[in-house]
Amino acid sequence: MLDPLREAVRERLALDALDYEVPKASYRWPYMLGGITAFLIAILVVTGLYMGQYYNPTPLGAHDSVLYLITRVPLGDWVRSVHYFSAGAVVLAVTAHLGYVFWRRSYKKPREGTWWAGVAMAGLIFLFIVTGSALRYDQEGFEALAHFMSGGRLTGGLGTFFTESFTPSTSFLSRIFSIHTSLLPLAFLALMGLHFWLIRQLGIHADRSETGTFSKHATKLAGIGLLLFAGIGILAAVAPEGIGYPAVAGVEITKPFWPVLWVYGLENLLGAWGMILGPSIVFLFLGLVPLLDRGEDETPGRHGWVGWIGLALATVMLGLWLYGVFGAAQQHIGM
Amino acid sequence: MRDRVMRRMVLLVSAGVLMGAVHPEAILKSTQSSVEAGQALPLVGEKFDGGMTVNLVLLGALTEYTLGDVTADDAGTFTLDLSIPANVRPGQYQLIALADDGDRAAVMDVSILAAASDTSNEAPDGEGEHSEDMREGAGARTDEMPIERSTTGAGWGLIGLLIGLSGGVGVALLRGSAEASS
Repeated sequence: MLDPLREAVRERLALDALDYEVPKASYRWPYMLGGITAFLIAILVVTGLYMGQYYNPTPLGAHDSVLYLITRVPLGDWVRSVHYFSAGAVVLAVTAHLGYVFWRRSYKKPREGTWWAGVAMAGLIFLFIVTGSALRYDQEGFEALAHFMSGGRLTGGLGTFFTESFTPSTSFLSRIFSIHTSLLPLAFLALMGLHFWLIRQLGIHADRSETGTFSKHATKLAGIGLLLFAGIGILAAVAPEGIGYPAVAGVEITKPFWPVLWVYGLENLLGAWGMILGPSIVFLFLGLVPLLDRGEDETPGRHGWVGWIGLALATVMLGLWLYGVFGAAQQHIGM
Repeated sequence: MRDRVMRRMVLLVSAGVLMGAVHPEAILKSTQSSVEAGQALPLVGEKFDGGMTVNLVLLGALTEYTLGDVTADDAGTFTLDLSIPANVRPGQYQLIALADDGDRAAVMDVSILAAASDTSNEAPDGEGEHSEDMREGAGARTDEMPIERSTTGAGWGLIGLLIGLSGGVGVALLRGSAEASS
C-alpha cells in the first residue's frame, strides 16, 4: 500500500539522484561516523533553536532563564538534556571519525582538502563545546567565561576577540551566545558544505572492488541516527542534566564539561597557558598531517613516524583527560 | 463592483485608525532601566484611560511580585516613585500594568540589581543552603541546584511518542537496508 506513495515521493523529490555509486565499504559502521556526526549536529541545531527562544543572554538574566527553561517550558528540561547528551555524543563520534580517517590515511592526495575541512570542523566543535558550556552561567559556566577572557588576554592582540575588552557595547556573555548560535554555526555550515562537496567529487578512500548505492548508505545512516536519537532521548529522560548555583565571581572551584577535561589536566600542569598550548598543538599536528605523510604508499596504519606522533599525542591526551577527571580541582587563572 | 470593495476597505482601515485613537496604547517609562532591590524606581505612566486604575506587577522568569495599584489622572497619566521590595530576586523583569480585566495595559523591561548589602546566593526556593558540598570562596558552590522538574503527563507522553517513533522507524530502516544489501 505504501509503495505508490513511496514512488510518488521519490519522483517529486528526485530521490533517484541519490542512487549514485559508492564503494560498498561505505555500508560498514566506521564509514557511518561522519554521517552520524552530521545527524547529531542536526539534533543540536533543532534543540538549540528551541532553547534559544527562552534563553536570556545577559549576565543578569541568563541563569534564571535556564532555570525557567528547565522548570516551566514544555519539554524544556528534556530538550536541554538531549542537547547536552548530543553534544557529548558529537565529541565521541567526531573523535572516532578523525581517528579512523587518520588510521586509514585517507588524508592523502587528492583528499587533503577533505581532511582539512574536517579538522577545521573538529576545531569548531571544540569551540561549540566551550562556548556552550559557558551559557548556563552557573559557577561552571562563569568560570568557562573567565577562562575565555584569561586565554584571550594571554594571547595579546590575537585574543582580544575573546575578551570583554573587545567592545563595551554588550556583555561578554551576550557575545559568547552570539558566537555559539550564529558565528560558529555559519562557519560550520560552510565547512560542512565544502566537506560534502569534496567527498562527492573525490569519493571516499575505500576499497572500490565492490560497489553499492549512496541511497542505501543514507538509509542505513538514517536508521542509526534515529536509533541514536531514541537512545539519547531515553538518557535525557532518565538522567536529565542539572544546573549549578548562580555564579560567584572571583573563585575557581569547578571542572569543565568532560570533553574539555584533557585541557583542564594540562592546565593543572602548565597553568593558564595549558588551554592555549594543548588545543594549538593538537590541531596544528592534525593540520600538518597531509603535509608530513607524503609517501606514495597508502596502506592503512603504515604512517611511519607521523603515526607514532599521532599515537603519542592521543595517549598524552587520554592521560591528561584522566588526570583532569580524577585530579583535585585547581586554580589556573588566578581569579 | 470594484468601487464597492475599495469603499469597504477604506471604511475598515478608517475604523481601525479610529479605534486606535479611542484606545491609545498606554506606556510605562522610567529614567532608569535598572534599580537596586529595596530602592525606588521613578515611574511615569502615559496614555492610560483617564481615571483608570492599574495593578503594577513585576514578572520575572521564576518569580512574580505584586507591587500595588496606581490610578491615572483625567489626562491618563501618573507619576510615582515605585518602591521595589528588598526581597526581590535580582534579575530581568517585565513591569506590567494590569487592567481590572487582567489585560496588560502597558509593559516595560526593568533590571533588578542585588541590593548593595545582599550577599545571598540561594536557590529561588531557598533550598539547599549550607550544603556540605559548599566550598570556601565567597559562597561559590560546585554542587547542582535542587530542581523541581515539571514535565507533565502529556509531556512524558510526547517524549515517549518521539522516542518510540524514532526507535521504530530507525529499526525499520536498518532492517530494510540489511535486506536490500543481502
